[in-house]
Amino acid sequence: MIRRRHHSQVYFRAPLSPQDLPVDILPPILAQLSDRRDWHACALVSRVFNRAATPLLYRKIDSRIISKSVVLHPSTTLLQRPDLTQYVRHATETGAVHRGTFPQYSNITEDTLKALALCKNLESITWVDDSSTTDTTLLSFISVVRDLPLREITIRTHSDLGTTVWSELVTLTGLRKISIWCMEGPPRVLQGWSEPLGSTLTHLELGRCAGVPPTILISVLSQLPKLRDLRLKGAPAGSIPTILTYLLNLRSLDTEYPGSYYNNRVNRSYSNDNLLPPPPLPVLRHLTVRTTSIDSFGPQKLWSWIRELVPMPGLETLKLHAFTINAGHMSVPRMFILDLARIHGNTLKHFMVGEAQLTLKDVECLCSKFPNLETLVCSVASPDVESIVAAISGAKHLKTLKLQVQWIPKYPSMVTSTFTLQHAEDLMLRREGSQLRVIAVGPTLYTGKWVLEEREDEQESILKFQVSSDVTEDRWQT
Amino acid sequence: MVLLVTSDNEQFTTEKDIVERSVLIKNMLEDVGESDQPIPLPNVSSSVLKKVLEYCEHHRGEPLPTADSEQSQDETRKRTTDISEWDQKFITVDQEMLFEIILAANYLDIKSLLDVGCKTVANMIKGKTPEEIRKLFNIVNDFTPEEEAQIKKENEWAEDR
Amino acid sequence: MAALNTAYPMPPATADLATTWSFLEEGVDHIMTKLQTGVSYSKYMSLYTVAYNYCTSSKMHGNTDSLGIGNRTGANLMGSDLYNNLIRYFVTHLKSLREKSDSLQDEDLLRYYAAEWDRYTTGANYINRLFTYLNRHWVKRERDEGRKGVYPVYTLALVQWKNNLFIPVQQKQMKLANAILRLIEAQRNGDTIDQGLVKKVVDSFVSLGLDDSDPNKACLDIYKEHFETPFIDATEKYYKQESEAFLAESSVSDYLRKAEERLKEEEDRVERYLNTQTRKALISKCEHVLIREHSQLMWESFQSLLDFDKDEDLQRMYALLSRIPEGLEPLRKKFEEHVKKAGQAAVSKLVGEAGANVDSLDPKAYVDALLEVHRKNSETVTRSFRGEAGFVASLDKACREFVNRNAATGTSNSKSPELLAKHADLLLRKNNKMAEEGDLEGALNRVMILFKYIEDKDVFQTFYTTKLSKRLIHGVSASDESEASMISKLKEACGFEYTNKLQRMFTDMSLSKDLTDQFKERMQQNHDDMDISFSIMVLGTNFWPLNPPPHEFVIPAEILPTYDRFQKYYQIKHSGRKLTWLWNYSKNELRTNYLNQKYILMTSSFQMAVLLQYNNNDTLSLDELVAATSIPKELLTQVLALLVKAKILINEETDQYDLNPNFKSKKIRVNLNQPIKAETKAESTDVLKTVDEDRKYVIQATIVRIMKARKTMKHQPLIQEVISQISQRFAPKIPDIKKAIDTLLEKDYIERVEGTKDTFAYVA
Repeated sequence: MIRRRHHSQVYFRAPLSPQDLPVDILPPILAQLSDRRDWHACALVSRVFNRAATPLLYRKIDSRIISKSVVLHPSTTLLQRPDLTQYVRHATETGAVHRGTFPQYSNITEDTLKALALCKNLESITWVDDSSTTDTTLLSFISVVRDLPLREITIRTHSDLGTTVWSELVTLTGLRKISIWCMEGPPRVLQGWSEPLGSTLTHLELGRCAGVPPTILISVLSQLPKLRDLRLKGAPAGSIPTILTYLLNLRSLDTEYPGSYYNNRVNRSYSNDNLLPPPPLPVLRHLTVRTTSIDSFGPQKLWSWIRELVPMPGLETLKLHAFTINAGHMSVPRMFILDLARIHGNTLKHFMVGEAQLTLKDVECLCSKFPNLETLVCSVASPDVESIVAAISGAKHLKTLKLQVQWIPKYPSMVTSTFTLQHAEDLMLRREGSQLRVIAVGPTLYTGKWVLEEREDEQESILKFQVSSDVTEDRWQT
Repeated sequence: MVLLVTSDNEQFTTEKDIVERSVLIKNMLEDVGESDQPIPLPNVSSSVLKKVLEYCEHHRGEPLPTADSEQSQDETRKRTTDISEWDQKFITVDQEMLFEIILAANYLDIKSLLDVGCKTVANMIKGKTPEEIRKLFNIVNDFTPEEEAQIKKENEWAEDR
Repeated sequence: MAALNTAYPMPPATADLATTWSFLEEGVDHIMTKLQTGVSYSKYMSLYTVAYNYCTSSKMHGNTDSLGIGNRTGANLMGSDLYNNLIRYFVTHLKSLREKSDSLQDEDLLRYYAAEWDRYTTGANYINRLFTYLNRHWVKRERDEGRKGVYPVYTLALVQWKNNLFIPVQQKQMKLANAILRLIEAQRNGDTIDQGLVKKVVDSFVSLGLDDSDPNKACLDIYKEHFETPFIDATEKYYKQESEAFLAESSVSDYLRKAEERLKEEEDRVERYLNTQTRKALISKCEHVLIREHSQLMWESFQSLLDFDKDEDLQRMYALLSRIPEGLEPLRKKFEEHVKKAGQAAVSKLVGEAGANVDSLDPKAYVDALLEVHRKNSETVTRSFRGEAGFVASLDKACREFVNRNAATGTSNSKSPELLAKHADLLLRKNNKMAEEGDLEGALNRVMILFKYIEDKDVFQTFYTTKLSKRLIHGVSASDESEASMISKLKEACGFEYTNKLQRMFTDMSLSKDLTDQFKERMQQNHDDMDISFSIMVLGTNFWPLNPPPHEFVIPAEILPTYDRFQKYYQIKHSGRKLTWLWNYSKNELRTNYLNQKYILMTSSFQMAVLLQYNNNDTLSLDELVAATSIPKELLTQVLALLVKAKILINEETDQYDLNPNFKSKKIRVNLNQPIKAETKAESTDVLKTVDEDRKYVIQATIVRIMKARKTMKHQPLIQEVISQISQRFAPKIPDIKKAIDTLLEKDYIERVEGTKDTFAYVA
């Protein structure tokens, strides 16, 4: 509510030039960037830019192997410029760099360890090693980071860590996030480590749980009541509901649903006893399920299993990665959509089922039963664009729509429909207040935004809606 | 009602809950107490204040960021694409006004508006070479060639990725 | 940028540090020293703006010529310029405050300190907001980069206060802390003090604690070092001295009251003006000095408080000692001993009154004496010891002791259960006064209180069964409801097994009533005229503690038809069952028609058999009567003696009994059915014999059950296990268990494991 009381004609100041901006606002601007190349460029602009960009550039460090003889590693710089080490929060180290195969860098491991020891603000470390032989280089890194305020650790290796490294690793305390993906060796699920981590750990990814007895998995995870994010690969689906009863703070779960689950399921104790109320479960906001399917209705009971995990309202994101082995898509049953809507109708914002197929009627149902839907990713078969427009008309808050479309010719003689930029723009502006700005149909991604269009004849510029298209890589097919 | 006076001596009357999106003014009203005195804003011109008040009015009633939320934002930094559509339209102005708004938001301590401005400028920087950035900000390269070479060498590990 | 409209003149945006700071310093000083005179919007805005302008005077194109790559640029200098000037201002400001405090002592010092603290922190809050911009950018950046000793402006002000005022003042013999401690001491001595003042100063100590890594986090290090530690020390000293002095001239009762008050006061103190974290340290110190240090004395005076029933003092002592670890244990032990002695004394007194004749002890008096001791002490536990479980256990232990072993019982374990069962019997009989008062249920509940403590519950059971059977067959039970109620109480206490027999007895009684009715009905249908009224009780042999007469008995011809009829009726109804007639428990009524006045004689069956002989004779010899009835001579002489005593018969010549033709009685109904002395005497011994037999069986059965489950077991553990399993019913004696083991070895239920001395194995 603005009322101008009296008007003055005087303009007291020369127009602002960006070079007159105070230096103070540069850090908040550059902090909005995320691509390292941008910070790298900014560091070369001027002294002032350099000063603002350098701390951001050095927040996350890693190394790069250029060729068989050349490796680029920030440790050289850090040792020469120890003042930069205070900026480092996250370091990624690659096993290959430290395997002694670069004759010109014989001291590289030693230097890296020295440099890391200087990074007094280091919070997070990632170890990546795709070699197929077990070695103990990681051991020396663990002993260095032990004295740093480390809160997160990520390990991705091809080979097993080995008992020596593992027994050292599990003595680290105070961690908030752990992510472990080792493709070989015995599955290691934090036995003996979870108890000391119970008071701090909020985020956990375990890349290999297959073959771990459910009782062990449950007892390990039951020690981690503060967990908010959990990703498990290979955990038996039957043990998930029991695990959840221990993790009442969990908000996000990413797990698998093997096709064979119900053939060898473990009966949970409470399902046998209808007299007792089921124990409380956390209210999950984000659920990701990865599964494979042979028949077109998905693994049996997948849908009821999903509903069992989210019995209370609150789900915001449902992601399903349903890889199909044969051609032919997995279908999402209508009953599942309706059941889900009964509980999560008001909270669900993102429904992403990837390749799984919905009929246009299902899409229409989805869009009306979930009034807050913002993202819809699925696969449909449709004769034309109009029918898609009609199907999504109920979704007033839709922002992103990604469809794998199988065009069905109305008449055998007709040419297959194609989706054009104009279609995308029409869809985005289909009505006043439409929020749809991202549309992907097949591999093409359309992004819409309002831009200022300069006009040559006038001083005033006008707002115009612009849609750009881009061909994304199709992740599913690679 | 609160009376604001701009650097070019224009007076704006607005409601308290609108103008209190400025933490500066909110703090001052708390500290000094409310009165009929006009509040001088010596660093803000009328054209900019008009724009700022438009923003504040649109966002009135939304919770102000706390120290906590600022920290968590730091953890999972919001990306530039997160600008809401209204904000995006709002900030789609010429470059001079954009910088004026950023300055005013910085001065008046309106965190969300400063973020919107900074994100917009960051979008302009994205993908540009150092020389293009200099042109954008109208600044000169004040490095000596030796210094420039040294920086390139130091940051070589982070180049082109 | 121009600022023509601001009423408040301020330096231009491009002003240098000297100009800028002199403007800011005037404002800062105004806020720190005379904020009460107010600040206008324009002054506030101009101060904020000038600070902002100076911080942002470093521009992108700017003045970095002399600086190397990545070194501190203009913006950093600008921020630190202001920051350092603020520090300098605070230091100077605080120096003058400190100088004024030098001459002050005690309360004056605290008043000055608190007033200045208020003014200072209020001002600093203001300054903090005026310099928000500095906090948001420069301070944040410096802290992000890990620079130590850079704080947001408000925190900076506190740090300066700490370093330039607080610490220097404290360094002079802890002037501040001691001033507070003296005030607290004055309050402990009964003076009124300004608690608000103390609170303010103490709170400032808390505020001065600073967690370097997170300025928002509370940290109590300053408070603890400069106040809490000396405070706790002073408290210890004060109460050590006070408690010793107090006890030197006052009673323990008074001390208990005093200590209780003091502890309450200290709790309140924390509430009123200390940090809540101090509670634990303070209270545990007080508990140590006020209670632990004098606990020996309290323990010693406990007995006399008990002896004189000083309830309030007991309550207090309990409450105090419960606050220290192990404080109550000695009390519990003493209490147990006290209750035990009280119980034993009560019984000794009773036995003394009864002239040391244990056998003539009145069951009611005995039970009442035990109950009274229990009631009194149970009340003490509830009232003074808040029903605490440890004291309840002590009470139970003591009661168990004196209920089972006292002057009346001697070494016999069966005396108490016997007396209790007799008492219960008296309660449940007709014409008992208790029942009239309507408190029978209450009285039964009290029986159960003692029953709980009885060790040999099987003895009680046997006595109770015998008594019950008498009540039932003689029809003298007060009411079925009360009987049922008592049985259900026993069932609740000992389980179904324990009362199974008792319940079966009731069932037999009601079945018998039906049977009598059905029999009579049948006889009427058959027009089988009955000139003798008849009722029958058919009692299961296994459930009733009754034996048939051990001798022959000639059924008198007068009742023989009835006997035969019933016998036939019953055989038809339940073929295969054998009826054994318990003549010795039967009752009869005879009408006289040989006298002018008609009497009804109430007799036992044997008396009836004798008297019926006189239908045909007036004189009979003893031998003739033996021949006619088959009652053995010894018993018959006793039967006759009662009849002679009642003057129905006359015995003038040896072994010659004549009918008395002149018999007279005031009552029409004459009860001749008195118990024979030999019978009453035999009763108790019989009962105990039954108990002993039962026990042998119970012990053997328990051993077999254990061995069946364990297969092999050593001697000692086996005995332990037997004792633990049986002790619910009675306290088994070890020789009895050993005897039972021998018996079972003989009978081949168990065997010794070869090659061992003391291991047994179950023989399947």
